[in-house]
Amino acid sequence: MMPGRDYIPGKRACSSLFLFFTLFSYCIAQIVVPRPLSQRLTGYKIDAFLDTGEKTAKGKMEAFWVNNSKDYVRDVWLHMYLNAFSNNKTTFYKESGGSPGSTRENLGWIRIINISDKNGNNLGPLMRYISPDDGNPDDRTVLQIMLPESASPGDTVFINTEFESKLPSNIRRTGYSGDFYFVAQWFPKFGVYEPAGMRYAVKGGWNCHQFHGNSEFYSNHSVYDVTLTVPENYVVGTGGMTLSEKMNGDGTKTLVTRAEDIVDFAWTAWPGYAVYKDKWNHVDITFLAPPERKNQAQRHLTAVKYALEYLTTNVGLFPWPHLTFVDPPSIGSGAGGMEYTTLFTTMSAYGLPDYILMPEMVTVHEFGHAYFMGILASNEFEEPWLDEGVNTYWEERIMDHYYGNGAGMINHPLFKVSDRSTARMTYIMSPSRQAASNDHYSWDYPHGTYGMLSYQKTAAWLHTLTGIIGEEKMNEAFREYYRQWAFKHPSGKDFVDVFNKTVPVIYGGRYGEGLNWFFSQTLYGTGICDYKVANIINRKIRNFEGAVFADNSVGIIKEKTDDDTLYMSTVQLQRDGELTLPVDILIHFDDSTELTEFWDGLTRVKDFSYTGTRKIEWVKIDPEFKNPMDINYINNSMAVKPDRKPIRLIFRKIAVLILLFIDFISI
Amino acid sequence: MKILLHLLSGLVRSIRCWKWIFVIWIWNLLLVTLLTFPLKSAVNISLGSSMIRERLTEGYFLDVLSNSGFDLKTILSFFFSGLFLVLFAGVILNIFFAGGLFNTLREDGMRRKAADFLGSAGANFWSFLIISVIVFFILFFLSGIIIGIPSLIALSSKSDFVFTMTAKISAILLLVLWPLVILIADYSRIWQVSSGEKNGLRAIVKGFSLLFKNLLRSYLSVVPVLAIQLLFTLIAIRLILYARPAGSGGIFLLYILGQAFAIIKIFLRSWRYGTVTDLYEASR
Repeated sequence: MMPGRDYIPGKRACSSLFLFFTLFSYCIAQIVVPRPLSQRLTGYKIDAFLDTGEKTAKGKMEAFWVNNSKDYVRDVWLHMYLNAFSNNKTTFYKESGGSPGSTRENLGWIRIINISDKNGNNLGPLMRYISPDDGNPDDRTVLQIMLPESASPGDTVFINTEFESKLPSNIRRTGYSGDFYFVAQWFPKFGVYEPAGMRYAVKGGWNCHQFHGNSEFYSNHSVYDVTLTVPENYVVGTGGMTLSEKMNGDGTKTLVTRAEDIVDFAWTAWPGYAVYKDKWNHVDITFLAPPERKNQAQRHLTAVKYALEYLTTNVGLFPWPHLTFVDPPSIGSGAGGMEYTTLFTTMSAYGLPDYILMPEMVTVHEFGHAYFMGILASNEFEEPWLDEGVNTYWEERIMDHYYGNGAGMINHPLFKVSDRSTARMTYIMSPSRQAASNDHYSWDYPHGTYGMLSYQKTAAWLHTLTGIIGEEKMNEAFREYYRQWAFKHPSGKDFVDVFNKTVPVIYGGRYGEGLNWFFSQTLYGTGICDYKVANIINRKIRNFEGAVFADNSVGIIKEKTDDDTLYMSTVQLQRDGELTLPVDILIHFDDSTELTEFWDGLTRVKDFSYTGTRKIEWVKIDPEFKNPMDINYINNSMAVKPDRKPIRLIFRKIAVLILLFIDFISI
Repeated sequence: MKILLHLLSGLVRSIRCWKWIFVIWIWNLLLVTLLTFPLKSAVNISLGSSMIRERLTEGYFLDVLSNSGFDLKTILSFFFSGLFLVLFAGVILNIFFAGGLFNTLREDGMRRKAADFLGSAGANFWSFLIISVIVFFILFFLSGIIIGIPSLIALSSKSDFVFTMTAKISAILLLVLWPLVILIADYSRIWQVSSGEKNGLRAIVKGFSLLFKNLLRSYLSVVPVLAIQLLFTLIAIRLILYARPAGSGGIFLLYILGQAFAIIKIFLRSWRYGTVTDLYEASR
């Protein structure tokens, strides 16, 4: 408990109706962005106090939800996600294993102290916890409140509540460790009411899932006016723009922040943060990190500016003028690598050499979510690939673009790994790569395939699609996706539709209209892709000069010389996988000429034959590695005389190194 | 000046042992080839006639090894189990040859024949093995204390700063203490070869007493040789790793250069033995 200040739960406002109008006018006001970016169907005004003794955030909240549907809605559903950490029988712990711990300090929970509507009616008796996904009675992460009166189309539902959020000690995205706090999923938050026709909804209803082990989130774009009171020695970072900060003279300070059109509001507080400031075009960037990692601060800031530049150019504008990101200290590493649109966490370690680009990769990845989770805001519970997979694809493009010739993960002269390769490797090496399609709810992926399928496989097929339609067409499709769906919660179907309209016909309609043939195999299919060169045959065509002799007999005078010997050269290709994808074939002849052929992949086998004086030396399927869905690049090429020098060199080196090492350890 | 003389004497003694240094190198090379030769064939077979090898030259190892057509698990298992065996056998082999080397490096041992070299190697093998095991244990224990305990403390503190400072101090401490342990091993062995005793434990005790009898001079004599050994190893590894010969001739030359490095490395170790032998003989 901090000295000199006791938190007193707020007195009820003199007029709830007055509060409602005040709140509403707050949310209509423009402070951060010049005009509303979203419909702002929900809004929150929160006044919270961080109790570092009790490890709680206590607060008052006024919030509204606008019924933008044609339905009469009888209830509202709220996320109460900190309750995921309240016991080991919650859906979160049942799915992910482990336990939140056994003491009060370990547990996390959120409780409503009182709650009323705009008329001051007590809503407490109308509340009940529900488990819409699995019926788990021990899970209290979704709260249903029956409304005293149904909300008519166009009505605004207003709630006024006091709540207390106890943070868990084992940080899993949210919680505390020592004096480090990362406060996320910490207040009662409306689910998304989906009217019929929105995404996959056939009739109106709340889309408000429980907190799952393998899942992130889905929320409305909202306006947040958040006032935070913390000990005055704490450095605070939030997803909002700080409007004012004042010392209270009692050992605490109060920050007034505002965020517009973001899907969640999180914040962090720690006395040890060093603060780094930077700017990119219209965006003021704040980076918080432990002071020992100051050498890495510039790396993170450069990475985030690269990401801003690349995504702005190729997808769309980053509309907010502020961005805060955090490299949590070692004690708070569980908070690393998470995104809340205008606040995200990255990760790194002291002394990490420059050629290991993990810190940059995490920064780029988590920032990228501002687009696919933040601006587009798809439903991560139901279609995780639409955020995680798409974002991984862009992260890989950014890393490989800016960090040294396709070595965006490790860029050492002796050892290079492209960011794209690491994702592909996870997919192709997984024994469960065909266990399911991408199209599953996040907690429904079988055999632990959530990460591999929603992140890596999606990224792999998006790269393959880039290889097929070209990078510029891909960018055009994403720009259109952003233009049509920014701040509107697109579904996978909407994503596919945009691509079908942007790329109506390729290869003369050989695969049909649009790209459904592609998505049905990759996004909705489980097949694998494996092309191979089965054989190269250079057959000499026997060629003779003949003559008719005087006795009318026919004979051979001489066989033609080597110079004009003809060859029937054939390359035999095979498709071993189920996926039929177009590929380029590069054929190299012994006279140094090369031919590029096209194979639509529709048949199981394909031969290319050539007659002439030249022989085929080598063949490569997909010579530019445009198709990372191919699980085996080794059989994609064949040489008549393979060059064994690289292997010889490697083993010569290995032999010398082992010799030196034996001597080193022989005392 | 005396230190320089010890170093010079050690160098001369070592040069006179050149043919035994070659013998040691050849046996080590044979041992390593037992691992690398079949492994190279296995990798070549796994890659078949593929041109993916080009990616290896560019440093993109994962792009090759991760493919489903490459039997990565089998080859890695072969490599690591083989490597462990080769390292173990290599250390044993060098313990064996150390008996011969120490005998030949002695003042009166310069003209000893093959039978004497191998005879001394065989006769001293078991007690040298005991000495080595004890010295490895001391090194392990020392490393555990110097690096392990402070690291555990630093990790539990969860502070980047504490962790970094602890790691740096530990590394420096280990570097300072390392030569002392090496000296104990060398004094033990030269004492044993000279005295004709075959008791490894007694030799270790003697090693300690010889070291502390002549601590400063011994330390200052051996540290330059160890520093040269360390620097040479680092330079050699860097040169080998970063060399990118394109043609077959270049690869062959690199191999020859690598073997020269291996021979020099054994020579440097022999120089250290020679220096300690001279220190021992001077102290009698």
